[in-house]
Amino acid sequence: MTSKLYTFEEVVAMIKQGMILSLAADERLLKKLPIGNWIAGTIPYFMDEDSCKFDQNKIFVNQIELYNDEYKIEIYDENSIENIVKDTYKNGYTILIIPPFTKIHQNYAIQTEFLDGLYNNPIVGWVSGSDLNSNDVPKVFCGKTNEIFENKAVAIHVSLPDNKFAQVNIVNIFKPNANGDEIKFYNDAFEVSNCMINGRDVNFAEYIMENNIDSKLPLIANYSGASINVCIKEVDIENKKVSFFAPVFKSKSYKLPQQVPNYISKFDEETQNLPSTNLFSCNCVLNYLYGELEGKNIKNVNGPITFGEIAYSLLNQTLVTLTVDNI
Amino acid sequence: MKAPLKTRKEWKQLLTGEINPSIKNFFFQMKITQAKIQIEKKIVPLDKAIEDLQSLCQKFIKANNMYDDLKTIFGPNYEEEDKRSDTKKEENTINLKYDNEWLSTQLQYEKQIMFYKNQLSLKEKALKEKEKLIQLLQEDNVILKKKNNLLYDSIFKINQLEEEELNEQKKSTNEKNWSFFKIFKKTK
Repeated sequence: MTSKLYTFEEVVAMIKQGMILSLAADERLLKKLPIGNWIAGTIPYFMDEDSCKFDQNKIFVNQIELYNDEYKIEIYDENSIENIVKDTYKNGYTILIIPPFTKIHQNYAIQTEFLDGLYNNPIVGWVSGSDLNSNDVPKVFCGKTNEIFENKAVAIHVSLPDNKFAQVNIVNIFKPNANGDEIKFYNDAFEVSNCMINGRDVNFAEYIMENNIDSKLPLIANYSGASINVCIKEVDIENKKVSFFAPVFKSKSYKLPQQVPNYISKFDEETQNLPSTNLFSCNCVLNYLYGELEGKNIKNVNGPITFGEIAYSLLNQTLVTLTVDNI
Repeated sequence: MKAPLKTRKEWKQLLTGEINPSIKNFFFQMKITQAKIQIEKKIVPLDKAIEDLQSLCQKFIKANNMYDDLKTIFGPNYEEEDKRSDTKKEENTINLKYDNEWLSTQLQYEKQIMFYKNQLSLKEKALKEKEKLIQLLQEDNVILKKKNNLLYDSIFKINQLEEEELNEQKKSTNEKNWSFFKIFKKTK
């Protein structure tokens, strides 16, 4: 079944058929869905079949195909989230949905640096969100128990037979500027005051202002060749603080990227090699906003446009995909 | 497709930062980064980190770019090298097995030799004792013979003396008889 936006009635029919679903939609639609084998997060932004769009009247559906009838839906709070690895199957994958700006969001993002067994199976997912022009509070839903959470995460763990494996791919259209300043932070944190720029202690908010740095650009760390973004949420000049959508880590060096003149052509270039059999995908709302993606089509990829992406760790401004392949 | 043997030095070099090859598979990039931090902060020992990484590379060897990444790190012919190394290891194991068997046989032989040597030395000792005894017996025999000779001599002498005595007695009896006869004749 194609992953795309479906009408409310179509989704109700799928739930009643006993399908296992991962959903994304406006909370007013999700609240009306019947109990069933589904999990969901709130968001009204999507990469649909024809284009990227804002839609509060349809529900995005990823159908979970079962290969050996084994799956489980789990709810995690800020303390139990570290058990997510223990709950995975010997071979399989997990889709996780987390509410933003909460303790569980922070704990998961920071703990993944040390979580043993994190890479045994792919963990993908997203951070729920809301209409940026509303006061709606992002939420996650557990359709199995008909519960709605603002501070808990929900996950679906899926088992795979020995002849299959799941894999995660990411598309980050930003590349670090090799000749740019080296930025290092003193703590693992979502908010910082001072940092080291090329070995000198500097206030980061002042550095951004004095150097006219575009705060729409992410900071990029090199993870053995993978470029991992951390996006700036707010530059508070008055209190000389900078906050982020994901944590910066003490152990990493960060660089600012080169400007990307055309997001959609860069996405097209990067996604053309992705397999078209994506089981799950998501992209960042900042790419949607800064790249002006509304009405434009990203080839090969459908999914929610979110407040944060999960590909093992919490990522920012990154497109994430999950595929299941034969061994 | 097989992941490189965990005994290969490149795993350690990769996780200690001695080598920094260009890797493309996302899982591999993230896992290496986490393992390096865990080793540096002593959360996970290097050996366990290598074992985990190698087994996960085997699990995801068919993932995008993974096989190419392994060839970049371990060389394009790493599988053949590992196969050869495996065969060599097998040969070494067989040789070791043979060596052990040979050693154990040798030990058994040596034990037997020791046993025989002991037996031989005991035999030698016994033979010497026997010889000594024979010698003593022989010496005793000589003495005995001498004693016997002496005894025979004595007996012979005694017999001779007795015979002589008897003869003497006979002679004297005869003489007496003769004299008696002579006397008797005269009287007649």
